[in-house]
Amino acid sequence: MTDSTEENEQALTKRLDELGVNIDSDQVQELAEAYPALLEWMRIARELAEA
Amino acid sequence: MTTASRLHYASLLEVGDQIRARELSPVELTKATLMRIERLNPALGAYYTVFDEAALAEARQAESEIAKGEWRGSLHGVPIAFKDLYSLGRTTAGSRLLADHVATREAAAVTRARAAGAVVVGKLATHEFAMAAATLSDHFPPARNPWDPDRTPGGSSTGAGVAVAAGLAYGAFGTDTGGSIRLPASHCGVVGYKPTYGLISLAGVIPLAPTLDHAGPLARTVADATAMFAAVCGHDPDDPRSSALQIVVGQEDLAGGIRGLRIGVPRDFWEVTCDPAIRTNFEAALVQLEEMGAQVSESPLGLTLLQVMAVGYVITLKEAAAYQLPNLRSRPGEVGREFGLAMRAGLLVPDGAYHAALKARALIVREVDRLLQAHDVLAMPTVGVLPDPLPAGPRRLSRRITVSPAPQYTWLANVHGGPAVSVPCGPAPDGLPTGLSLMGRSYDDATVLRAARAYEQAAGWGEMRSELFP
Repeated sequence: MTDSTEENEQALTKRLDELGVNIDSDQVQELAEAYPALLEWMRIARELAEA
Repeated sequence: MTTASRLHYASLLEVGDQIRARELSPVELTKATLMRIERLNPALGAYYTVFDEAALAEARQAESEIAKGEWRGSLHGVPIAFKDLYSLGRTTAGSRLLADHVATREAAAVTRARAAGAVVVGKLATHEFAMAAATLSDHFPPARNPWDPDRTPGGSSTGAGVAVAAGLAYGAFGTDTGGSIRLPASHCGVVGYKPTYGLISLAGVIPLAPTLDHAGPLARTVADATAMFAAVCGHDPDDPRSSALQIVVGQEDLAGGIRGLRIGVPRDFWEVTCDPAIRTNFEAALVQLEEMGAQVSESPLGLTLLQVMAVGYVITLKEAAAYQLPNLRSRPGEVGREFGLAMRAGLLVPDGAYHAALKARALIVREVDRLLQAHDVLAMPTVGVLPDPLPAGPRRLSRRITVSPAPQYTWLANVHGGPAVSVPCGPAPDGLPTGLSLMGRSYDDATVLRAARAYEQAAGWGEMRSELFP
């Protein structure tokens, strides 16, 4: 695991924790794997909204 | 593959007519349906719950009323079923979270179907909360495709597609947030109809994403789907999304053919992601529609599938996660893995991104409306892939949240809100069904259904049944 991946997983865990939602370590890896695509979806939505 | 003429594969309207004429007993029809469910459901997994006694009581009541000349309409005495998101008895949403949940109030659509005399035989399998894909390791066994039981029937209204395709009901009500009525219709070789947003009440239906959720029928014919819609549509003050416009489509609206109908083909939206076998069937359908007198022309949308699905999914994930937040906090161990992860992803969508997606949705609506100024309906394949094998366990979240999502062209009509119908479009070379999707202007459901009916009658693909379940 690279440092940036670990940082990313820790950040996602923290954000969920702030909402009162736990996540297991194996699940956070899976969430982190999909997260860049989620960011891309949000970027696409913003781009269309501004069109 | 076989062309069936058995009673369990008759259309809803055919058995309805026989019941009205007192040539067919609702009690005998219901008994036969329950026996077929008992025999085939272990292999197909369409039903979570079967209402044997209650269904027979409803059938007896229907028979008594009809004998007295009190016929209520096409659904009177006919066995139908509901996806397990509609509140009625034990209502699980396909989740261990609600495995023991018994609804205290009936969904409005169930009440209306019963008022029309329908015999409700059971509750049908669904993807967990209408989202997570079914797997062989789910808490509830997955529904299986009658054309190949090792494959998915498509979802999320999995059981509805299977029940209608295998002759385990004469019609079924599903829900559709991104295609969940039309995808199983396409994969199972039946008709799926998503009406204009707000025309069927969602009161008492467990939500996924309230601004995209729709209720609607799956049936063996377009005429059956129209009759089911007519029985339950109409304004409902208990559903804030319910349309104040009263749109009723009757059988008379299906007549007249499609001569002169303007059909647009937004090829730029779907073609590059479509399986060649599905594209071949679609092109043949276009030729047939032209031969029937329709004016078919290319009509670029100017939007990609990824753009539309990204907008749809950002909205869905955000709204669904907001609804599920209490469950994620208090009972996380009872939420399925894929669904739980998808909901956590939804919690990571900032409010600003959600509002941007709503704004982007308005742009998509404008672009579709622009095409529908020049065309009466838009045509495309329902989905660009054939049904996948049922996976052994939960799919990785990156299979769903990806920049190369499964090509579900159905999302366009959910984001737009207008009516859309999937009708059988012929088998792929391996025998699996494909679907033709027709979508139209909001509240012009009649035109879409008329076009679908005309194609269905000319093509005849809806007559095909799986040889595995004769």
